[in-house]
Amino acid sequence: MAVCSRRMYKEDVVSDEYPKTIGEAANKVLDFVRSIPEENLRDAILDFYDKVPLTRTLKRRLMSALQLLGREYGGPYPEAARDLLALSMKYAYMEGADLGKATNAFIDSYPRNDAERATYTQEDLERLLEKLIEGKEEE
Amino acid sequence: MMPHPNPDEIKRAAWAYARDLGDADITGAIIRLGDRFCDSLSQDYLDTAMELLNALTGLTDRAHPNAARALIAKAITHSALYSSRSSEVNATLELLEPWLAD
Repeated sequence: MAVCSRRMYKEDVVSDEYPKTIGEAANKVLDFVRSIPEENLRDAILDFYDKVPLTRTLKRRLMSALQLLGREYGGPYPEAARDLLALSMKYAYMEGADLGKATNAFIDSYPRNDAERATYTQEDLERLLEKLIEGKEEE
Repeated sequence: MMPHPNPDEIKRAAWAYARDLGDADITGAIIRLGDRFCDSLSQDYLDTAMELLNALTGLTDRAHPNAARALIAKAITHSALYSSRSSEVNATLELLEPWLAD
């Protein structure tokens, strides 16, 4: 059966194909972020933050996404957080090199069932935040 | 001079300020606040708010004006509470004054 890689991806077949164009990457990112159930969004954002060597700008954007999942200021705003995750991943692809490869590998290996997904506690969140604050002090 | 408001009062006022922005005023507010704030985390919140407003992202065509308002409020709160420049803290409190009085 001849199917394109995007279709294979949708059918839960892990593809090791790297997108050839930014448009392809953007489609792959959109398919991925839309497949994440709302209740897993926080863990998915933290997992990406934790496992992929992001630039400080991308980390800060993901921190904003996490803020939008909280109850402050009329929140939560899960769809805005989802779009920020998508945007961060697209920028990571545009950056290319190791960052693009790591993002591609992250998406391809992301577990399809709940039990295998990484979960993050409040302590994990604080540890990750601390890393970000330390990064700021190095400037 | 008014007494220094507590963090909860600042948060509430920042959110009231952001909620009062009409949809057409959000972009202008982000630009004005961006000129005013020096703190890099506040700037990041504003940059992200701008991205949420429209198709600048080039990725999704959805705008998220309320989420943008939330990040504007977050930026204002951060500048009022944590900016290392007292001039920025004072200017931010001045901006919030009408909403602090509510």
